Amino acid sequence: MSSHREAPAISKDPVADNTDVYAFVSPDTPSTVTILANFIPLEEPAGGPNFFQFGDDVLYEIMIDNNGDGVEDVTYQFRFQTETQNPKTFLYNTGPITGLDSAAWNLRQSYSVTRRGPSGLPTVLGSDLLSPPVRIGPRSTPNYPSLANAAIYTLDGGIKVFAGQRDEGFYVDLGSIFDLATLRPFQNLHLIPTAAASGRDGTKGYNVHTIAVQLPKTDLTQGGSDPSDPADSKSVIGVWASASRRKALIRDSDGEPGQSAGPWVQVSRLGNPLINEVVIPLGKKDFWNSQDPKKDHQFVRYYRDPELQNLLPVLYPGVFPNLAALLTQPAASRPRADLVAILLTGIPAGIIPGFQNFTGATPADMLRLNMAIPPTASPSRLGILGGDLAGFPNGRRVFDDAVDIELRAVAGATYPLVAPGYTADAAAGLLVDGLDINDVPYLSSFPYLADPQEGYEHSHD
Amino acid sequence: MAGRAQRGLSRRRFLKGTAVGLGTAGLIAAAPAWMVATSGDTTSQAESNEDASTPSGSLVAYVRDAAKGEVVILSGTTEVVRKDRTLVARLVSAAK
Repeated sequence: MSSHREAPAISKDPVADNTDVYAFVSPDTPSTVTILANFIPLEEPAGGPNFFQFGDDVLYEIMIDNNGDGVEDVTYQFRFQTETQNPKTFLYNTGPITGLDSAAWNLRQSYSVTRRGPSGLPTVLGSDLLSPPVRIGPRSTPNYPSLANAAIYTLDGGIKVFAGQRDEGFYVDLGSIFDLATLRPFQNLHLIPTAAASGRDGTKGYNVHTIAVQLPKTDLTQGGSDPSDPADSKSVIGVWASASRRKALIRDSDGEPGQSAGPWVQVSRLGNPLINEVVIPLGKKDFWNSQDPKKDHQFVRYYRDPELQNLLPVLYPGVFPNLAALLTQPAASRPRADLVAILLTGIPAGIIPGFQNFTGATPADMLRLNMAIPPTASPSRLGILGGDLAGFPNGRRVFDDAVDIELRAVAGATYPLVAPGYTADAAAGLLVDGLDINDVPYLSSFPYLADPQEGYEHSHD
Repeated sequence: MAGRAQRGLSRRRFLKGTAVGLGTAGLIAAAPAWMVATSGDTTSQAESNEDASTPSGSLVAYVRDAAKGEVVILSGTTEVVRKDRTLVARLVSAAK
């Protein structure tokens, strides 16, 4: 999946597992940027009696680099705290939860938001903010949308924030892709063929926990400038998220959470979708999670010659003849500079008319958003590949089809941008996993991801 | 951050810090009694001044590499690596 359970260690620590990051100019408030960071992969909605929550012992961060060095200039930190109102019952709620002040809501989680600017000094933007209850069912959480809306806070400076359960908005045919990179619509052409079929949404009916912020653009730029010129390098920001745990945990023998000590250690990070998932090799995945983007030069070789690129002609014999011919040349002679640009440095001006999100020579895996590009009235799920400059890899919107976009790019569809003599295979521009949209509609306003699936009534089919 | 903390953390302060950690958080359940005793026996005016800046809360120390004499001390959100063969030897001895 995008970055769900993508590395051995973090797959065993779902509370800290950063699954997706989105960053886009808010379509309904274009003076702002919305950033979403999702955690806890594949939440089964009927996950009671102890439903999913953020980790009280995890430091969640959203980072923004606004000068291209791969180092965060602005950070938003989120810390959570859980309170049990009545420890004498096993119930998450002792009756219908009709509001955030409902006495029937037993297990509550609140959080704080702290901003660190270039000076590094912290400013607490909000505290004792409530994460809404999870969506249990018609008896426990009736009228869930109003519960969730009540947990959208507007802080000083026009900042909106929300932290809580949402529908998993990332759609992917998970069952097929990790079955030797099968794409059901093309599996008749696979090395181990079966009849072509429609895609199946492997994340349908699951939830995630989302940290969402909507920020004035001027809070994110160098010197607070207002980005209005797409050609201006100051219009571009790099965005990523991370989760960290304290270095030491001493478990108490009474079953209570233990004591922790030492510095925060990063255990998960995410900028571009699917990178640690399918670009970084198994032996480096947990290490990749521990590293900051400024150190991504050590991983550049995996972007220059991605393993998936080499697998495609083998798994789909005869489907990618041009790519297969390219791969007969020494790897050093055919670096995928297109992928390096898209994922690590941004796309320089002059390659795509009217667009750039180049942040300089420092390779750093971040979502790069040119904030001067306005939202599109008729967006394409294929983002820039679909002629829509407001979509991935210009940031990432909730509906952008990251799977199809990256499949096509890795298959060579974007290589002619840097190698004009190369003709991409026809199949590279057609690759799909058979899914074009999420199973439930997205919201048209903050936090954009749909209300969570209900434990009582949901389906994965 | 680690470097700054390292400059300000003497071995004696580490020992006192360990005692504070024991007292406030009940941490390092297997911490040897000699560490507390050592701390008390060597209290001086200078060390009392250090107490004012001793971080509260948990303190964890572990011997990372006994052969090299390396002790890692985790306190608050800082990490300090001390190279002190004598201290390591005493910790190893106390753990037996």
